[in-house]
Amino acid sequence: MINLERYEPQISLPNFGISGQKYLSLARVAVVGAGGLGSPVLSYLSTAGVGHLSIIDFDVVKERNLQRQFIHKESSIGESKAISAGHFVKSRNSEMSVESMDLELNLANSVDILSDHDLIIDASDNFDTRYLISDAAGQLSVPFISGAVHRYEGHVYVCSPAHGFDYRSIFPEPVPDDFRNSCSESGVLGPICGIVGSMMTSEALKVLTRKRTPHFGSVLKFDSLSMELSTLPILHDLPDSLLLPEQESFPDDNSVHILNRDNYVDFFLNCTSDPILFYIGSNTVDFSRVGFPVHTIDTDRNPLDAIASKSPNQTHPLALLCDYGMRSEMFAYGLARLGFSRVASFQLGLQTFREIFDGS
Amino acid sequence: MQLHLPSQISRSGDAEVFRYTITTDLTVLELLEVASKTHPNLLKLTQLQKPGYLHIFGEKSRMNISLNYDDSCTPYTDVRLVLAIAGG
Repeated sequence: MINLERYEPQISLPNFGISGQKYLSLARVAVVGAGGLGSPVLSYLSTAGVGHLSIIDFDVVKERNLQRQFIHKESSIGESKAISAGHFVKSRNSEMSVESMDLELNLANSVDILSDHDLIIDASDNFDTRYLISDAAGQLSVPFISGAVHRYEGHVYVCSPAHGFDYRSIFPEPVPDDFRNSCSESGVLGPICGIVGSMMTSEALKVLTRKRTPHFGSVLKFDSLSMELSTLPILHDLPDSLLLPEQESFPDDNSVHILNRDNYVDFFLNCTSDPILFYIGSNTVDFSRVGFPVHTIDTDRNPLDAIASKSPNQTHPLALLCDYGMRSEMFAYGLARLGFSRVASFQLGLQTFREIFDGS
Repeated sequence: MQLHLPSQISRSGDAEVFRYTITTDLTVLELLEVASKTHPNLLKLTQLQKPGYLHIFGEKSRMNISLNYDDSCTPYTDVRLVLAIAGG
């Protein structure tokens, strides 16, 4: 069951909602690299409520890592990065599942380790691992998000081999050994890792929630010296669909009915007694055509308590309305969590309500 | 970054491969995109081969760029370089 209070700030976002949170809670994400980029990625994925994280890193925490790898502590020096990162993630979100893998990804194990994930995050620090992840993702048909940093700049690539875009689409040939520089050799500014890792996570949340089209098929480049963000398009024929397929239903979908113009009749016809309509908002709304009891809930109060106190019992049909449909949906699931068995929410709030009752 | 290529194109090797030598301090493999809107001939060809970009292999102070495009020999004046980076 979704923890509404915890995730309310993102659930209430337009085009996120309960379903976006459900997708996150069911998602399995593999993060390769628990270093500079892995730090913000693991931090924000865990606090956003991703269901499972697999953390893959074979390195140990060193003192020079602490400048940018904020998930590790001074007391973690010498410890496996994957295990240290796992402890950090669990401390941020005890509700989620975490698996720390203290091992090096290689040609023999990459497909096996990265399988059974919805998304792979490439937060590695070398070209070989980037090609390895890309090729394994291609075999598994799993989208992946790759990020890289160097000195004062960073890149983000949202890739989906199944849609014709992977790391080799950008860099078909590996970089010659003579031209390879690591962060420790070339230097990197700590906040660059934070910015680029946060951009990667923002794209990851778009992919996982299916609510927004990710920045797909391009090189997204950030330069902190000029503070410029630029896009280099690589793939010119973008797919219409999002990267991950929509689920037809979620396990607990039966507890809440999301009303729209096409399905509202079924809900009201199947009510054995007159439903009660609760409006959570402060707009002036014409309820004269509704034909059953209406209560306006003061948004300053706790709506769940107010609605529960006005409901005859937990089986009585309730219809929740707010201005845009996000808060009512969230409270509908909150009531379901309290044991109310017949709760509905108007999908787009007042727009859907007026379509149904005013015909507008 | 913007890179201004020389307006004169000199051929070498294969008839459809042109080589430039550019002085730069960049040291790693680069990704290069030519503005396809102003150079439709390149766009046409790159759609058949690679999507609008070219590769540079370089030494510390010199880079050799191979451009593959058709015979129109349009000079390219709007080119973007993006460093291939791998730090994490």
